Amino acid sequence: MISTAKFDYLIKQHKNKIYNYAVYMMRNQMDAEDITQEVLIRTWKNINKFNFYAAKSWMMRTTHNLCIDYLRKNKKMNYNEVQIEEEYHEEIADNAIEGNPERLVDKVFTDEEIKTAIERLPERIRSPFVLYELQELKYKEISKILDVPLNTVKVNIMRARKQLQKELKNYADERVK
Amino acid sequence: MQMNELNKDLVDKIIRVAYGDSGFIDWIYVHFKAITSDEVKSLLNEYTKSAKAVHGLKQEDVPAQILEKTKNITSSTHSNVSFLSRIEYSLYYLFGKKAIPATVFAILALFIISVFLFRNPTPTHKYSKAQIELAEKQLKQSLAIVGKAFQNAENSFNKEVLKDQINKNLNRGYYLVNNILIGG
Repeated sequence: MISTAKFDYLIKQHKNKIYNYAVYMMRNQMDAEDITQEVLIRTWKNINKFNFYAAKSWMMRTTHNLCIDYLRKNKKMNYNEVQIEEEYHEEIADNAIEGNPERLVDKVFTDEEIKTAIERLPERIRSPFVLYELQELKYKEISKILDVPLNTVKVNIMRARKQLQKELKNYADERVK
Repeated sequence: MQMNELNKDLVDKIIRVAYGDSGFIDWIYVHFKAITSDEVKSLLNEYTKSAKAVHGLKQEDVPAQILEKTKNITSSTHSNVSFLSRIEYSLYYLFGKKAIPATVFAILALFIISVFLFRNPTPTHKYSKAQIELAEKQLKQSLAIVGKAFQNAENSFNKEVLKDQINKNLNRGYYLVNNILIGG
């Protein structure tokens, strides 16, 4: 019975975080809904196995792992993306700041444009970016969830910011055309 | 001039400032640079705008049917939630939020300090009239002894120290000065 109360509380607190993270990772709502449901069921099944204060990390790590599994199964993960992540050249992102900056500054982006730009980021830099900027998790928590070193998290977030800027610049360029 | 002429370290600092996770010194440094350099200013504005847009994104709510489905799956134990579970749930809810335990702790600490500071215990032992009179008498005797000691000390100081040790020497000094100044 105590586990029911714990489950109720955890769902209330983290359900939207799980769902939104899944949406950004899967890039479609149907898959995100499936993953969210799966995470909730797994949480229920394992409710007595994890510490209450570690629950958030556990749930987010489960969400992340499920997303990766889904992407691999559905072959949605672009092989090129992985390569870009591993051998990412800073110039790619730095190109975003070339040209006329005023053109980008003057544009106001819609939520949809921002979301699409985030979804276009390569998976490995997208996940820490979403967890840090949108889910407001700390570097340390993200490091545990993604099972990567702390410094890698920081570097990937920085790369994601630069890449996002490039994506937004593309939107601005398209508008001008 | 191209933006990518700015060094990577400065660009990283600008981005961190724009996204609001820089240190105070970097914040000062970048804003100072932004005043002196149009490139830095433009780049900072660009990234600040993007950061605001990203941070302004609202979270979507989980579709209700997902929660319903989950509830159905876990419904066998979900229907009866005991009173104890409700209490624990409330505690989880209260102490899950950082501000609430902090407030509770502050109130408790304040209460304990107040109790210690303003506690004024009333004496439980009562003395008889005879005991009080005796104490007063003893106090007077003690004060009289102390007073006498002070009187004796004053007398000996006036008679012996002041007269013999100080006055004599002072007179001798005046005599010498007079001799020197007046010349005998």
